[in-house]
Amino acid sequence: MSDLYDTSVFIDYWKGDTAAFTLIDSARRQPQSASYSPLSATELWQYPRLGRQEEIEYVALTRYFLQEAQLTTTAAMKAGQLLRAYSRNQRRKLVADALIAATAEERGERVVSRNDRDFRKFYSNVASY
Amino acid sequence: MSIGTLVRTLGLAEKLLPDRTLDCMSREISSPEEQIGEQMLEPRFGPELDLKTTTHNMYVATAAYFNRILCRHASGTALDDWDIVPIGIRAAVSNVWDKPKLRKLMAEPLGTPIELTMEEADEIIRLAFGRRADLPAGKELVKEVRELLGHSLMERLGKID
Repeated sequence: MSDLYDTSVFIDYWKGDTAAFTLIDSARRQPQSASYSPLSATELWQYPRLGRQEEIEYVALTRYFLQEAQLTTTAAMKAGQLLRAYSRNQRRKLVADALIAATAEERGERVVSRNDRDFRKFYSNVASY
Repeated sequence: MSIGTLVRTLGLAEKLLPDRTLDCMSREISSPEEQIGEQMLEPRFGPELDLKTTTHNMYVATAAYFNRILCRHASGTALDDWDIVPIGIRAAVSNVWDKPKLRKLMAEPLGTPIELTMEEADEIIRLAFGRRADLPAGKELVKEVRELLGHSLMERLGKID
């Protein structure tokens, strides 16, 4: 089973986290063996401290070594259903996790994240690193 | 107890610049907790690809791995054999960021299309490790961003709650 890397993996790799290194190193050795959600790109690119070099690095990784895990209508509907159980305030905090979890479930992939506790609310196949 | 020496470089980006000798800072490793795992004794990408020492006939582990440089005599592998010496290091090969193509890409604004070869992409990723030690931890940054993103989305949807 392959993995879907959450946004934290990219940040931690830039930061020098050795566990994130192991994950990215694995993707380098086996291109297309792991995936990412385009939501990660939004999350990263709204952050003003990331610039052109990070953009080139991110494109190098996602386009050439990872699969894009597209958000489908089916997964979006599933995420919406999963969120119903939560209060309005909780739904605000969890909407991205629900969308990514539903995407991974649809693809039969494991979510790999440092925010594994939030993902487990929606999906059991989650791993921390 | 002195177990060995950890030699830190001045910065990942700097140390990979070609033909540039850098000073390293060395310090004693003072406790067993600071011992370096066996896997770090082996150059991850090989000294022939990344860096070579210019003095003391030493091997240097890769710059990209763990964002630090380890030195030891060619003949020795035990931590006890490590020398306590500041060394000069020199990049053995130029890296991808020195290529005119990458310099041009860097000069372009955010969002400009990016085309790379697999080899370029691979080297870019390898060099990116540890380059932004200043960033918040992934977990904290993602939590903060998700709340903003969710707030933006659910504010609109919430009105039909």
